[in-house]
Amino acid sequence: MAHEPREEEARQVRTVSEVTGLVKSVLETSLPSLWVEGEISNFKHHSSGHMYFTLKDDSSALPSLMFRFANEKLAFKPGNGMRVVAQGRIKVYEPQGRYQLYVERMRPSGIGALAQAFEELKKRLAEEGLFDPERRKPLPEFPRTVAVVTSPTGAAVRDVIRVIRARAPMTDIVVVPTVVQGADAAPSIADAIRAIDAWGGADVAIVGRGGGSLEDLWAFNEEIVARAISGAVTPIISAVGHEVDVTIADFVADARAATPSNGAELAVRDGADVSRRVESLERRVLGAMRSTLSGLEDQVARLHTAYAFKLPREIIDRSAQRVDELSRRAGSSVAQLVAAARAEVTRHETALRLSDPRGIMARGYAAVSVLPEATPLRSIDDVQPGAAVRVTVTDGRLDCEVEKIAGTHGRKS
Amino acid sequence: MSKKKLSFEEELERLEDLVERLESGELGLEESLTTFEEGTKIARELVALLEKAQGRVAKLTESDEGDFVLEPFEPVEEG
Repeated sequence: MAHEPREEEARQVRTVSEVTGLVKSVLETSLPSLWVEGEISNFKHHSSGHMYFTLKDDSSALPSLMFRFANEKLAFKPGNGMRVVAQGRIKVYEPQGRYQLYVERMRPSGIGALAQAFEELKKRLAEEGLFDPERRKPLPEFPRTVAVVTSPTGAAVRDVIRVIRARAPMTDIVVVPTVVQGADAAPSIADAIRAIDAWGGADVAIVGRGGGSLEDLWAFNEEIVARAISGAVTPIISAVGHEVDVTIADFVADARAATPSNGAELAVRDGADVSRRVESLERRVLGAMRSTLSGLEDQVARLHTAYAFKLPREIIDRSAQRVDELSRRAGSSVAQLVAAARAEVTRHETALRLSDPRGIMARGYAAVSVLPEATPLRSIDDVQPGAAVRVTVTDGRLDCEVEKIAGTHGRKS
Repeated sequence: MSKKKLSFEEELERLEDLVERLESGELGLEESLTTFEEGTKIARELVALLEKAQGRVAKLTESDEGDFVLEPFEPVEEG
């Protein structure tokens, strides 16, 4: 074997550490973060708080560990025989020359296990008080900007935009694109919610996606999403799946919508309803102005009756008509309406001035009333000779006795 | 449309307040008139906003530096 030494020279001889380092660098750089499904065995929860276990399937085993900081966030209690989906990175543990999965996140696999995880997280967050009704922020009545946290390509974003456009076209809509399914969904949704707060431009946010299987919707049952919603400054509407789908996000959100379309309905009021409300307020403005003007008209009429001074009947009639017109003019411009109201006020003020007895008395007229009641004296029929009457002039009054009565045309009643 | 100084909500509250004051019958004539003028004007503006104003649809993204960028967003029709 004369060539053997030459071969040994040609090949570089490496130390164990070098080889291990080589394996480590190849493995760790070529394998990104992975999701692995398997069954837990050899489970050990060490006193340090770290968890050590093996993920296995029918033919292979993968040594795994989950550090305390990561497993504290688990929504369930792992145990031997449990099927799980774990996310983590493969790393090489040099002292033992073996590779293992460093689990960052883990959830039970299969419907039964998911339901269990759901119940456990729900119970834990409820105990923390995250579902307390008094934590819920009120939704704004008329949001200027609605944020939508969902997939930019899903049906949900189209539904939300369509419903908001139809109900409240003036609303600005800001889509915050996220992944809504799979490994990256939960952190992506949580980040989007934090981004909305940091941006600060949205009055309310709809967080959700369209329907899917329980596993498809799972991101909305994850603790980081629940905490992001609960910690958000912006009011959040959860809108996940269909009516029957209930997620943890629904419990922590400020409002729960049955579907994304329903989320949009909760976010903005129907413009037709708001229009009716505004129009009814406008009618009340007109009505109140009208009654103010008729109050003025009554005042003029009272003075007129009380002192029996002549005020052309037409002025009052025309005024009443003008006031009526005001409320029919809903179609005319504000300027025209105001001009009409102003003209009306001027007219009434003139009428009032004309009716003011003081002005008239100053010109030499007097008002006469019959004592003892001081009822206005309108006709010679109101008194008999010898009756006591009161004559009011601009600076005082005279109480007198009627001596003689004569009609205007020599008539004596 | 100029960006409203007051929000729709604030304008609507203002209008409700004006209506109540006007209906109280406690305002003088001149005050009634100015209240009437402002109320009618706000009502017209609100209706115009509801009927005509068109909001925009944008996409919010955050740069690595933490800056926020708004770009026009058009939902794709294929789901």
